[in-house]
Amino acid sequence: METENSLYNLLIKPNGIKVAFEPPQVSSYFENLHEKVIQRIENEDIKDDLWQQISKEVPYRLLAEDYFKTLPGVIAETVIDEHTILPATNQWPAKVPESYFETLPQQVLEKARGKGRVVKFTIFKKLTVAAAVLIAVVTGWVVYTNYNQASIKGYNIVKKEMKNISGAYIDSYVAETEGVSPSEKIPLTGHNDFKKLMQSVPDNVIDNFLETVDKNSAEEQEEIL
Amino acid sequence: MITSAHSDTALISLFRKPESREKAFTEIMKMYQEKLYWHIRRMVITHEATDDVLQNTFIKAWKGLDNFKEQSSLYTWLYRIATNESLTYLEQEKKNAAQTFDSFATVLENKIKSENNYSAEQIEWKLQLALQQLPEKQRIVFNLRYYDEMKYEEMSSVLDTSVGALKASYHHAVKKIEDYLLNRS
Repeated sequence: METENSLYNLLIKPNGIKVAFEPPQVSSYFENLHEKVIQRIENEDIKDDLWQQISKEVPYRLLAEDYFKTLPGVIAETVIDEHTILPATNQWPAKVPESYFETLPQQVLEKARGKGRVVKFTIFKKLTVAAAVLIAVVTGWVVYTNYNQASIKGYNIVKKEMKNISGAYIDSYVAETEGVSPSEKIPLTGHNDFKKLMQSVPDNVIDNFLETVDKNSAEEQEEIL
Repeated sequence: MITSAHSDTALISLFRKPESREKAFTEIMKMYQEKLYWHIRRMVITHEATDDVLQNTFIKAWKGLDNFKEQSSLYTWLYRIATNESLTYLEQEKKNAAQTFDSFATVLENKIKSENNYSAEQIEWKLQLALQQLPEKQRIVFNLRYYDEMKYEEMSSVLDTSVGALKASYHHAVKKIEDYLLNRS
């Protein structure tokens, strides 16, 4: 183990990355290591530690991959896939502002308290809220009632006018068709017939109807207001 | 000896008691803040963005810890939140990048190059530039495996992906990085 450690040290010392481009300098290391690794790799429990150590210490994959290719098939493939050699260190090279981690928990707690805060009301605030809710309910009820009354009145006006106009029109229709044979008369029963009848209502009758409705609605509206 | 899993369980129980809630959460933050910080920073690159995402991660953890079922470890649960928060941030950044002529990889590369101690010759920085060429999923898998040395089983819990798929992702990521380092950097 001591020999191995000193071999690792040899590998790390010659300028880290540079060593990868100068295989002859370390080839003897690999030659020696090969046998040791083969022996140790059979002992499964130390395998991971060993490869992790190697993978961190050898700067580039290519050099090690050639070496790993000499290992027995399945083991070599696993090792290459699992511990591919990349830069000598796996530390992120950027910096963190000083004391950032010391102040972070406090900052987060302050924000978290804000997010999960239960709002506490004083008696005065409770009364204010109750009054505001009461005013809103009363206002809503008044508006709704007036609107409803206006709607009912408007509906009654339309219904009344419809009855008047329809009645007048049917009266005139009956009078006009007096003496006409039943087969030539437009029958007044059924939905389609009613539709036909409505289509045959002269334009001036509709105009009169609309004018009357507008006039009555305006009067009713004035009364309501 | 108190293991991490044991101390996590104890901290979660303390968190659920109103009187020790804040103290327990502070301990949880102290335990995981650095690991999560670097995990996020490797994704979003700048410190300012990392700070935002990390704080959001902890605030989500604060809100969700009461309902945490402990089916996974606290560590993987926090990583999962941090990963999702980082991806949400990156999606927003992508939308912003779409309004410029640069590709998103170029935007990330530029962020790396504008770091204070950036050095084009340093291998660690070259690796960072290589990482930005990877699709997000491969980048996350590579980071978790290479930097955090996370086991594939844990990673599977964080990313909700099978171990086989994760190994394949890592393998592809490494090949691409290697190609970039040898041929383009």
